Amino acid sequence: MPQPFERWRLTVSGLVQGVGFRPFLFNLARGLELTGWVRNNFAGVEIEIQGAPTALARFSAALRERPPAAAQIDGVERETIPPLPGEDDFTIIPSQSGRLPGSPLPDQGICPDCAAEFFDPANRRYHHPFNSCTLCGPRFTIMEALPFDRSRTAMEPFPLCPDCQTEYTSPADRRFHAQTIACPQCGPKLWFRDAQGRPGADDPAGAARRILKAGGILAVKGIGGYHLACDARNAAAVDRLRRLKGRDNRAFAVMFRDPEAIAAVCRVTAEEAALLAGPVRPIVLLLQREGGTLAPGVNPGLRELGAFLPYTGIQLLLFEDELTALVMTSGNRSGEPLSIGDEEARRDLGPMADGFLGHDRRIRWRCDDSVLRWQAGRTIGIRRSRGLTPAPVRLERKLPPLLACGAQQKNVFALTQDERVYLGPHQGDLDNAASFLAYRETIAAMQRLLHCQPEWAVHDLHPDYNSTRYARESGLPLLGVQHHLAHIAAVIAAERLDGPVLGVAFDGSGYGPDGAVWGGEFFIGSGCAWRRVGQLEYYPLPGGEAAVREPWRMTAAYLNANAPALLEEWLEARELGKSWPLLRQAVRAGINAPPTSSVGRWFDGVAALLGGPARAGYEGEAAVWLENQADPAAEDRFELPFRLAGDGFRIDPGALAAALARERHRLGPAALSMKFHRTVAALIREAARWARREAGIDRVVLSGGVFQNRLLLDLTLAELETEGFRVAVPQWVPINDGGIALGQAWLGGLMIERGVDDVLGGAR
Amino acid sequence: MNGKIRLAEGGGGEATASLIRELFWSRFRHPQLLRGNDAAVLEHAGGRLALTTDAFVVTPWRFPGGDIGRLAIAGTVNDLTMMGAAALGLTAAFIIEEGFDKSDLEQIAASMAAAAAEAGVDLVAGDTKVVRKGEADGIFITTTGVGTIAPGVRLGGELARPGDRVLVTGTLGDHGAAILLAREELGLSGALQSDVAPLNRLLLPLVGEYPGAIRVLRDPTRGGLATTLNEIARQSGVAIRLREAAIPVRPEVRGLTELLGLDPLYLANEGKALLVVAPEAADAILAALRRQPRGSRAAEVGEVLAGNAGLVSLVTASGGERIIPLGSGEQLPRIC
Ligand SMILES: [Fe+3]
Ligand SMILES: [Mg+2]
Ligand SMILES: [Zn+2]
Ligand SMILES: [Zn+2]
Repeated sequence: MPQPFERWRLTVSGLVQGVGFRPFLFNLARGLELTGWVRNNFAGVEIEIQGAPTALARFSAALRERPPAAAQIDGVERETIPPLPGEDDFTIIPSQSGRLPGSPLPDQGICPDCAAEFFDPANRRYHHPFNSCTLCGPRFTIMEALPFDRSRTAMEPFPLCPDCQTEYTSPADRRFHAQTIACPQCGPKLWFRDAQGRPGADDPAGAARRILKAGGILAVKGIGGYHLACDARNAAAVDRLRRLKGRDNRAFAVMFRDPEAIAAVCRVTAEEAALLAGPVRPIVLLLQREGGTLAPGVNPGLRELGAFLPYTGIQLLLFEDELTALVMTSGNRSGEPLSIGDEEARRDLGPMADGFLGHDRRIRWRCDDSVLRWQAGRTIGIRRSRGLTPAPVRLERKLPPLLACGAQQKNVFALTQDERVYLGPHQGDLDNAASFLAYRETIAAMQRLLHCQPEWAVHDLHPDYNSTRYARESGLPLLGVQHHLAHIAAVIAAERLDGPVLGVAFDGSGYGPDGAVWGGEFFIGSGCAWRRVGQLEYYPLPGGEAAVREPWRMTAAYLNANAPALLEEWLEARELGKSWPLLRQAVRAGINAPPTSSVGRWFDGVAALLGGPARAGYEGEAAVWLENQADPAAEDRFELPFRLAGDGFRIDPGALAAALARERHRLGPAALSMKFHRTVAALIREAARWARREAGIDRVVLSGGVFQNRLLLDLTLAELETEGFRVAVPQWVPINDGGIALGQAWLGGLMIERGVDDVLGGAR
Repeated sequence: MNGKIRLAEGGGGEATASLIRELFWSRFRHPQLLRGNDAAVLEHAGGRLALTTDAFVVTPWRFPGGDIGRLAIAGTVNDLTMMGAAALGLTAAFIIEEGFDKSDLEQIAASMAAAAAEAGVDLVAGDTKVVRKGEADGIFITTTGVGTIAPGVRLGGELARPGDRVLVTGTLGDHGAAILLAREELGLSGALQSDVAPLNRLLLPLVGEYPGAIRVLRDPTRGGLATTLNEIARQSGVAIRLREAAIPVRPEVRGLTELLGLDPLYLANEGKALLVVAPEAADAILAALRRQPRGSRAAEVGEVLAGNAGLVSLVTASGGERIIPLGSGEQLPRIC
């Protein structure tokens, strides 16, 4: 006797729209001979399913265990309801017109099936640059409005041809209800223009490849904006691109034809390979092999290389024969926002590019490539943008509706809606006028897209951040969150931690409520109650921002207080003797020499001391130099400049700088850099021991831009984990200032709810 | 209002502006005051008068290129000039600390007389107070000026229009840099001179010659060119874009500010003006300025743009465009 039929209602929440979820369920249900229906609703997907209980259980298990790759299921609710007699089919029914649109999905890199078609000469989509399906293709960057429907995207001007229409309406097809599909007949068209902007070439991609092969620079329109590309093996091309772009020594990212091409240049673990090939298709920072064939100008002096794989057919078209590795840098003048419009690209990139490969599909949202690293069993977030924006970070609780304005550099803003925090795309440095204007526009547009109406503006305490100015001008009630607490709070939010933690914020600089420049801070707390238990001793920052550009100034500040004779000798050797006396006077007189506890400046000062750049082209350049000098084989560390003070502790960066200065003639920079890194890691362990002893805390949160230093983070994780501390870092949210907005949202939201306006208890 | 006055609230930046708005403008609501120009324009039966007042508290009172006396005369003459007004007369009030040297006071008086003669104006009334030791820092001087505005002259920070050009009459930051060196005994004193000077003879003839074409005249004193341009951009509801390469700065000033991490655009000037002028008259006015000794290094430094009201930016030598904000007065690094 057959089992009596049951009927279940399943409500699936999460990122389940625009990822091929309904076709997946359709095929699953038919395979299990189940009947019922599925539709999108405001929360996600709603299903009614009917059949034998064992088949229902298999359906429900498969839904959780092997959903489409891009889906993220937050929860499944099940309810048993009375069966419907006579139902004989499973159908996809129209979306429920809900009060809220479904969550918008990030862009998805081209999937293996679409890539296989792309390379199959027999397929009607052979070499089709816009190939996509329910699982892959642009999403966020072509969105005009929600819900995600072709008519509300940049695909609207491209009506489906009969063949594509058939696929779109066939439930068994992998393009069933896919909003972005196209083919050579009906899809967007690629075009080529030469440096003078003259259209031409019957074969746009061929003309583009000819430029790359000849060592030229190509502007390519991709998914989130234009890139500037050149052959990564051609040293002259790479140097020319760097010069034309006005780019400092920062490394270029390299796009490789396929995983094999990456493996020829970098060491790639299985996890890294999965990250590289996944739908996010981020830039992954990999360790480069010795003696690779890339031009040295790609990442001068660095052990790491930012590598990524093509994520759209347009990019697949760029590779051919020996052309397997391309510098793909964002299409802008250094410091400016990425170009997304064809006209602005011609204007801004024209002076740099030898040709343009573009297309007639509009990019609605500017979205830089995301950057991640795989380290010690987890990802470390560096930049969160294409492929991740605007998937919300989900919190354990609801937040009041607010705008978190973010920081000044590497800006990302956030909007909240219930328990979701939507992080906007990477906005760059708000010092730049165009970036700031784009920031203003993007905030307004994201509010419209997501139906967010913020009632608060949460901002950094720094009165001169342009994000803080934006908050002041928004007319919303304001709430300030300290920069380094925001760094820590971002990790608590993203990793859903609860209970008290030791937060270690190692950073460049951030505004301290005592008027000092913070950046080496240890906090204990949870929720809205925090205490600053440790810090680096304050040293003057000679010339304020000028000290960021000129790392030698911090060396001078440290040695002046701890080893003046060594300072004289060192200044002479580096031919800096002329500048210091006047600067020392200024420091004494308190002219633009605020006290700082910054670890970023500590790394700068030590780098300059050991022979690193006296001037930094970008913030962190000296620290990057120092990290890349270190010889991992060198043992030993310095005595820890750690002392108890009041009800906390202090670390003296100047004492350690002096110790380094004394050993400078005995050991080279490779050994000294390694000793320094080991010492800093041991200092964090010492702080964690203190927190365990004094407050019973064994959870440590690490955040701040200094932890982008791979060596330091490796050493620190090892020190802490061998002693049984549980360590959290931001995995998908930037560890640098790109993560500030999430921390502002989480902590600011809590402060608003609880009516708290000072989480540091007035501790100065 | 709670709390204590902070030094930043006298720095001329955002903090000063909000203090004035909240504390004074809320109580004194005369439309001339609320315009925020250098001097008020008062109408009477016989025409229009400009009225202005300024307190001078510079330390040290004597500095390379001038002293507090010259500053007190030039400052008030210049504030009248910026409204296109010819001075009728000046008053001066002195607050002197017990123990101040008489010979120093004499020197200050002589310097005031010389500056007044240079400007062709007269000191017509005065007041002198002495306070106990510690109640003032040496000497404070307040000067007030009244002047007449010729018919047809109309100047004001609210009159800049898109397309207009921004001119400066010479190198920027000289006064601020000289005071910094002198005050902190940084060595180098003497290498830099303040530019303190009355500008009426340089500018009033031009105002007469180009009525309407000169829209805004300002002396970028405390807070420098950056602060003054931000005020104008807000008052006029326009954006202003500067070209870094065009801005005249003496190499000595450049060297000092680079070392100290300061920005010459935010340093005070006491003998310079900025002009916002109609584009068609810009070249002629620039040429006329350059013919005068006090205007020999005049330059066109930027232009007025529509949209983005209140935004002041700088196209840098490397081609990037940086926002030049109204500083909070705190000056802490924004680079993380
Ligand atoms: Fe930071
Ligand atoms: Mg005045
Ligand atoms: Zn696909
Ligand atoms: Zn088609």
